[in-house]
Amino acid sequence: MNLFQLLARITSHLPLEPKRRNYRLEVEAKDIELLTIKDFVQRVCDAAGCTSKETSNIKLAIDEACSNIIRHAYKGKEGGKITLEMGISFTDLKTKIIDYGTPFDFQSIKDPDLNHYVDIGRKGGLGIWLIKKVMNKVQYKAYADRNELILYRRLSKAPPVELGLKGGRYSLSTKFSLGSAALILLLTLSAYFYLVNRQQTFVLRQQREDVTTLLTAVASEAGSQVALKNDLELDRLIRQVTKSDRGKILSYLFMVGPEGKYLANSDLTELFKPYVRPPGVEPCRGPGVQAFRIQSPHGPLTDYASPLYFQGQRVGEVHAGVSDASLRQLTDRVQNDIQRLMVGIALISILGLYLLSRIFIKPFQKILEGVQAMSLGDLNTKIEVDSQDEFGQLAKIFNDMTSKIQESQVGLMEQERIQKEMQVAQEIQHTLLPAEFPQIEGYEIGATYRAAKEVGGDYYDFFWVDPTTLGIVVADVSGKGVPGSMVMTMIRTAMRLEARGNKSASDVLAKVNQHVTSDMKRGMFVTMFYIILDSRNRSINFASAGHNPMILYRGKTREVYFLKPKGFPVGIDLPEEDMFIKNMTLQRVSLEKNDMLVIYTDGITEAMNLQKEQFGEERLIQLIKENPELTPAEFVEKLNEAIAQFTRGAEQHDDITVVAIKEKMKAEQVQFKFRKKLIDLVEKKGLTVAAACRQMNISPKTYYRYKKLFDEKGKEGLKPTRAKREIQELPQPQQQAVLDLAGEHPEYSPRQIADEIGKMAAPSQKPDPRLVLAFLKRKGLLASQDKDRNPESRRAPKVRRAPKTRKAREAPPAPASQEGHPAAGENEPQESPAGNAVDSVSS
Amino acid sequence: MENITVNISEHPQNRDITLLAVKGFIDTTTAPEFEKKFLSVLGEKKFKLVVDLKDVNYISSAGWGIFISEIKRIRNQKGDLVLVGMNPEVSEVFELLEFNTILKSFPNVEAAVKKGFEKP
Repeated sequence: MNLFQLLARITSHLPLEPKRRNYRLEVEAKDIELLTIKDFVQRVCDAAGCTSKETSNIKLAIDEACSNIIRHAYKGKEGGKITLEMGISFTDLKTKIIDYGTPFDFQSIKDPDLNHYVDIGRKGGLGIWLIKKVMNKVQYKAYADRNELILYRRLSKAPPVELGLKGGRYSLSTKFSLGSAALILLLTLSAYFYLVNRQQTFVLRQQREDVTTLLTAVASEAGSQVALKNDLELDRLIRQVTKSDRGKILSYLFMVGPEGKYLANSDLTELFKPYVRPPGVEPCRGPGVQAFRIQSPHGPLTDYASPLYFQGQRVGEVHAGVSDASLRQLTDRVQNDIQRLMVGIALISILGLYLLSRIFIKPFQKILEGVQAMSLGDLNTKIEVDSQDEFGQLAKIFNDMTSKIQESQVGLMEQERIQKEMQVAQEIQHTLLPAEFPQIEGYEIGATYRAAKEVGGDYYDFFWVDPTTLGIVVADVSGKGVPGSMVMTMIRTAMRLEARGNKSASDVLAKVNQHVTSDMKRGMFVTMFYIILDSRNRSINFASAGHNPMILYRGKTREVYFLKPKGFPVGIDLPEEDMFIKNMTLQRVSLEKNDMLVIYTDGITEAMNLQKEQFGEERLIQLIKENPELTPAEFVEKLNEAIAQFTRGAEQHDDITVVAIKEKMKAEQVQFKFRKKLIDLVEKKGLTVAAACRQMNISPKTYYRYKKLFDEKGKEGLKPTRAKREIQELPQPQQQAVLDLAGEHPEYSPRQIADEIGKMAAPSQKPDPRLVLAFLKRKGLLASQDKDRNPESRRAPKVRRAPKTRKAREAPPAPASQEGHPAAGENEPQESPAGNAVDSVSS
Repeated sequence: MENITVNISEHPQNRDITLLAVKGFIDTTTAPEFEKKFLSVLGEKKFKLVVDLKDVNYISSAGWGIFISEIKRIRNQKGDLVLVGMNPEVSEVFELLEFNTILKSFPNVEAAVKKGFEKP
């Protein structure tokens, strides 16, 4: 135990409050906050250096007290507060628990009789007892506005140092005071020794001079008296001198005659004895005072001697003795005086410095308290230090710091909120994506979706238009986060609503646009690609609302086509209501075996590597061309790998969505199989026509048409006769050639361009002039050229330009218009009068 | 909130002894949950109970109350309730509250099964 602990121990028995390090917590009186309280108590106990048992006991008592406050003082009502104030001293931990609820009669609570509890099966009311058991002192005070329960718990070891200040558990002011005290002591001590030495030398010299002067005076006066033998006068002189201030110090004063007899002596008992010259004292020779050191029976002394003269005649000697003891008395007095002075100076300066240091260090302690409060999580701490000195600056910096931390915490919370919102958005988005791949006869479908780190706006979906017709939509919402997800939800609902039974892709998109546009925020839009696969009729129609082109890979010729029907993005507030539908084109395509369609979002082509290069369309086309044998699922997997390899660790910026569709067998075969199965159901299996039609989901009218064909030509009659549907798009390399030619010769007509290309390649490769015209028109460059292949920038100017060009060049819309295609039920659009070659229908 | 879990099982050798292995802490917030489980065991007429407190770091008065409130009923049914594996902190309170005069405690389940249910 060190001095401080000892002092603290002593003071703890005095009716004095020891100095404490204080901690404070205020919580709502709710059960859930008991955990917060426990956590706080744990930390305070750690700070106090409690043993685990002490911590456990203190926690238990405070927990009991707070539980009681919640149950009884507030009766379980919400809105109450509990304030905890804990103070650590050197010897104990004091906890004050304040509540503002109903007080209770602390005195009336008696220790429980456990056997009685056992007898009656009681279980409550043990809390207070427990508190009293584990605490050393418990006080309860009820005030008008609050109740205080004060608990004391002695600590077995002193708390650790407050902060990591070097030098143990002494406070800064104590350390400063101790240091300065040591310095002061050293200074005063050396000053003391110096002064004592000097002062003593001075006193001794003074003394010597005094005695010499005195003796000289006595000698000059006594000379004549000796000559006159006036003994009485001599005796009087000696008395006078020894009684005088200066003479008081003399141990003896006497005069002797030349014959060795005392003429007078301060010591009367010696007067009639003969003078014995002590060893070391020689007879005086010349005039003047001489000093001799001698040993007397009373210790060492100095004998001062002077001869006596009368009229030039030596008549005797006068001797005066100054003992060392009396000298020491003199020097001791001097020493004592200096000692008192020095002690006084030391004490006053140490006290003064201590007080000064307290004054100087006070602001530092305030700062310390502030930092401690902050370390316990109270960021509202403000340190009030008025001074303009370094402490004032430090306090100001601290206050700035806490408010900055508070701000950044608010910022952090905001960030967390945004992150949570993003998470919600992502969750919404993920629930929107289809869970499983559809199985549709004759087609293979593969799809991949990879979300960017932040929520991107991609969305894709599959749904059955009718039992044999599948709709696939791929969309990219311009906005991200929750608003983007909300739009996506709207689009998805609208798509699912409108897709059912409607076999015209453009019509569905137009209706979806009608649904959502008014609800979408200005500036937000959605690009969509919608494709409808009719498995029974082996026909595919599709429309695009400003989306990236669909890629068609023709297995037979190994050519790649970009299919990009016209259309505004969904959600743009167009000046005229029907502008959207008027601007949209519906295209059709029939696939042959090993053809593949790839629908994608710009996340693919704009995937970036660390060098900021984009993946681009070229790489995509290359990959398609190099892998004709892959199934769609394998292909999208391959594409994923290729993109991963390309980006190589660069962060994904946008969602990536790819849907690939591949024809598994010849369309005619599928149709033939279907018709054959239908006929067989009736002819071989003996089903009624109605039952067979129900099973195959067609109308009896259709059955009878097939039946007629079957009856007329047998099995051969069931084979579809219609011509193959041409692709209404130039092959991709020819597109480039057309663009080049149109650039070089803006005066060329589409036919001339077609002829030129025909000349350059084999005649069989000569493009259809109509396609060239359509292509140039679509590019918006019958006169100027636009080689920019970036779909974003291609899309943007079109939105502005399209209404004008449409009116100027487009043929009058087909009467089919909105209701458009005989989508309803079993009617097969291919065999409708719309005919074979016409694939683009402006709806 | 998973602040308490109570695992109830039969002792593999002595089928009439029921083990309640408690994990977490028992205070005012978790005591009702523990009491529910405890009473359900009594409801099944199982009265030889070993409460394993090895994974309990803290028991407040609400918890202790539960143990003694039912002890008479348990003993009337010729059963008993013994506590095992208390850690030093819990054990200290157990003794401070003089519960050791009412309930038996053992260092582990084996000792409790061996000696806990002998006739006094």
